[in-house]
Amino acid sequence: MSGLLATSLSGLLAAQRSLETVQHNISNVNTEGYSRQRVEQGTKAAQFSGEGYIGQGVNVNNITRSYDQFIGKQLNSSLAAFGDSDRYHQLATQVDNVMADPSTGMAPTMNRFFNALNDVANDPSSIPSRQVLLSETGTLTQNFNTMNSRFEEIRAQNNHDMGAMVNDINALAKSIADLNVQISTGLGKTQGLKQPNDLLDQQGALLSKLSEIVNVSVVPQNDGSSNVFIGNGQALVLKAGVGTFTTIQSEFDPGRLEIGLKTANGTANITSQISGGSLAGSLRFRDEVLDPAQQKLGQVAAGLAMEANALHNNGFDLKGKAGVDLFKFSGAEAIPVVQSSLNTGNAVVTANFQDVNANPSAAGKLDFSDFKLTYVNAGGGVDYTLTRVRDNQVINLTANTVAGISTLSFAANQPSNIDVTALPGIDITVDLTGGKTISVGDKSVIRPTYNAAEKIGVNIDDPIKIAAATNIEVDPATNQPVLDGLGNPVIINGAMPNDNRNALQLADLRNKTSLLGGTASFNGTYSQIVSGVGALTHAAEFSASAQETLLNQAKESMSSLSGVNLDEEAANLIKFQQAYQASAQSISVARSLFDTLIGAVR
Amino acid sequence: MRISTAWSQQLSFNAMNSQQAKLAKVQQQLSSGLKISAAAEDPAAAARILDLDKSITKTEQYQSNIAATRGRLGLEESALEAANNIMYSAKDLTIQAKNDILSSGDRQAIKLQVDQLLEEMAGIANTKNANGEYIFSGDLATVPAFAKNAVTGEYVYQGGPQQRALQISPTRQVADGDLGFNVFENIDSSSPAADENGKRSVFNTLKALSDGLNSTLNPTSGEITGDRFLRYGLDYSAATVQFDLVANPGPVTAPIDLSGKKFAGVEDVVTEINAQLTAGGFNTDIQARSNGNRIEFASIATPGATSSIQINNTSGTFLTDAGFSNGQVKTGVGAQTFQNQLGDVLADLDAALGSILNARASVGARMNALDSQESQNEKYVIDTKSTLSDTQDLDYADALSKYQSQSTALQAAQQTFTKIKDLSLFKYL
Repeated sequence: MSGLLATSLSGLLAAQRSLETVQHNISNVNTEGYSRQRVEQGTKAAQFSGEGYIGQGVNVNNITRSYDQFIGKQLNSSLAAFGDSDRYHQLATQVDNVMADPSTGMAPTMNRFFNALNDVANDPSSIPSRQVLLSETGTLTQNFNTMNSRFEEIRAQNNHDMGAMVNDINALAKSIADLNVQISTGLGKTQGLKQPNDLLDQQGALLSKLSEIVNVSVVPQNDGSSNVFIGNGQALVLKAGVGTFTTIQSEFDPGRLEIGLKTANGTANITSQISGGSLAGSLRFRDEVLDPAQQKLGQVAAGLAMEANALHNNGFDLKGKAGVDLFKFSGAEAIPVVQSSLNTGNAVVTANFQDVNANPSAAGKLDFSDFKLTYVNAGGGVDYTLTRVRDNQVINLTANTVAGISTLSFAANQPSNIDVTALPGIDITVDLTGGKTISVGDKSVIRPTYNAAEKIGVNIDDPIKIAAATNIEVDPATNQPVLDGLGNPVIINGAMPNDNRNALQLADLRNKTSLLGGTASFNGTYSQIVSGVGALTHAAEFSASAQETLLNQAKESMSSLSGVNLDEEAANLIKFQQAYQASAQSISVARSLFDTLIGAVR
Repeated sequence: MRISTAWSQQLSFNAMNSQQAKLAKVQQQLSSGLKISAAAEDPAAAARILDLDKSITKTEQYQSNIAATRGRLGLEESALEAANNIMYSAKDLTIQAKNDILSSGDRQAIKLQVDQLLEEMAGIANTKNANGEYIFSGDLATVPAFAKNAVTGEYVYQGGPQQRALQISPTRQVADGDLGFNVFENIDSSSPAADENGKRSVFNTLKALSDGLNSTLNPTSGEITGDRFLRYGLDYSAATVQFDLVANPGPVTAPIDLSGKKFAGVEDVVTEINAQLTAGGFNTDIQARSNGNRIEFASIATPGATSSIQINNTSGTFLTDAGFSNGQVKTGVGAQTFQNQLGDVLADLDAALGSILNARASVGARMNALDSQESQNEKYVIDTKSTLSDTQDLDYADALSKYQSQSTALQAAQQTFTKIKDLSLFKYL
């Protein structure tokens, strides 16, 4: 008789547990990372009697969550891949918008600059048209500056975001480690038999958040905790222990952030190991889109300044004075050279743009990459090597030292299969005067184009100083230049106010293919940058939407397995409600049976 | 399969989001009228748009260059037409004057007319355009093309040596005028009074006519003119420069030394040489003069067939710098008869007429070139603009129908969401 009551009671309790779980599921229908839970019921051990085994009711064996480690892993890696390509796409779109914007884009101002040059050629003695040329030159250089500063803003924002992401990673790692402790304690309480479902869900959600920022590999431990690794085995979370991420400045450029992991032995640079997540997206964006776009813009600015200055220097102004630079763009400060902090020597490396008048193809040889100069002293005329950073192409340089100043030139002895066949449009000197030294292995990074668009400016403010004339004397009858005894054209040493020949040549720079090895005009090079950034953005958009589809698939399988369906829960609610009512009814039956028996005895 | 409630709602949100994004895209296209607003949407087209824009602005600039050139050539054409008419009048007067029955009074009357024509001709050669530039002065258009030499009373060219050209297509330049030197001065002459290159300017021809009518039948002196542009002087501050001027009869040899001196202009050189000639007592035999931007030497003691002037280099570069050759010599000619002088004038007036006609023909040819280049450019601009329009402009019909279908799709997504939201078992509990 008492068995009857106990059996009913066990049913009542089991239904109650189940109802509670259903309610838990319903309450957490919108909780991120929540996995629906189920009560696992089993029959109680039966009681043996002469008649056989009599069932003793139901047991609640366990409360489990619907979770699949494989699907969880897939979700996390999809999150990382999507975080990467989405971040990349968002940032690339910013650059794309800056470049294509007609009000800030370079193409219209370049067109106006060349038109103004043409107007000066049409009317070289007119001060107003010279003034217009000066202001158009100003607008052009300002546009170069503005676009460069927009790039710098994007860079600063990206750096700031990277710092924030690193902080997020550290905070998430801390929370994951805390949960590791709670989970292993929770699991320990039940001798490893009952899982702390909600803690595990919380940890899963944190791991997903972490995966959005950086791709991690998670190794579950027997005590329920999870160890988290980055790259090829850099430990971020080991049970309760946490590694600390940090941003570090690059050896050659303080504006360039790299990712470090603090360890007992100091900070390890793990930038190259960051593979997925928005952090990798930020890094990839900087290396693939932002830096090349800024450098290529600088290449256009530097090339234009080199070519225009060379022509302008050859010409003569309205007063008959020899032309000075049109663009403010020369001297050592135009090309930043950063010496490694690890150098043991103190020699000073300087780089200057080559003079197009002396090297007609100098602008064409300009490369948008940074260059790394290393002192090797390898003998055989190989004193230095110059590495093109973008593709690690190496050329050998010979030093010609006069009075402590080494002038570097293309060495006779070169590695095979190089496609750099001369200095890249710059002259490099190493100052060893006054007992300065250089040691083998000392490195400097030369950045010819990196901030050329920032440095470019207008050198003259007086319209009279625009050198529209060549002052080359011609024989009026034959229209042929008059040559001196050496066969060089004779230059008239006075004002030729209506001579427009130099202005015509300057205006013709519009058509001259002086960049990219003499294959592209300035406008052409700029449109190549625009289409290059556009193509990268376009590809990023595709890859982001492809990754989003994959992510949605992973989310769908995850939610299909772990997500709460309210209809299902409603049905379960009814089911367990009925079970509860039935068990209650059977208690009532047991009571009436008992009453019947008491009544019969009375 | 199980569908979780949160995910099914998320799907509806996603659907609405993506429909809204597509709708916003079409909306942006419709409001801007452009197919693409960022390079990423079609990188190749974005680069093409920049290239096409560049071609259009460039060619439109060539069109405005053509308009400027045409205006200037038009002005030159009317100046040349006036010069042409003067030449015909001068020829008529010459033929009239050659008539032996005219009295000296009649000839004086004709001379006055010829003097008038000469002044008119000088006025035409010094025509200015709206910018105040002398149109026949080449690249020195701030000074009059011809000025009267104070010593000789001759009109000499003092403009620049080079004619400005304008760019009318990527590969074609057209001169926007002609040098007065070529039109009015450097004219072939058969007269003994021609210079050492056999040239006589239209002004000198008219002057010879006027002098003949005045019965001033002067012999000419030996005269040599350098053919280099010396307007801005010479700098011998660090050079040894010496040469000799030899005048015949005599002969008289005048050594000139310009070593260590610097001259700001041709007049300075003339003044210095004349000073040295005076100091050496040669100033009655030899004279240095400026001829516009050039320098000339004349033997002045006894003008005529026997009088000659020669220049010899001794050291330095003066001869090259001033445009003489070593040992260059020119002998003067004796006085002509009235009929011979006028006969030569008539021949030279024909040559001058030919030179002006040549200039007019050349202007006409250039005008034609401008017209044909202008229509080529125009066609190019139209073609390029239509390509640009195909590349960047929106097809409104297409975009509007897309807009319709997108908004329908968004409405469908919204309605589906509200309907699905209502489907819940809890409603029946």
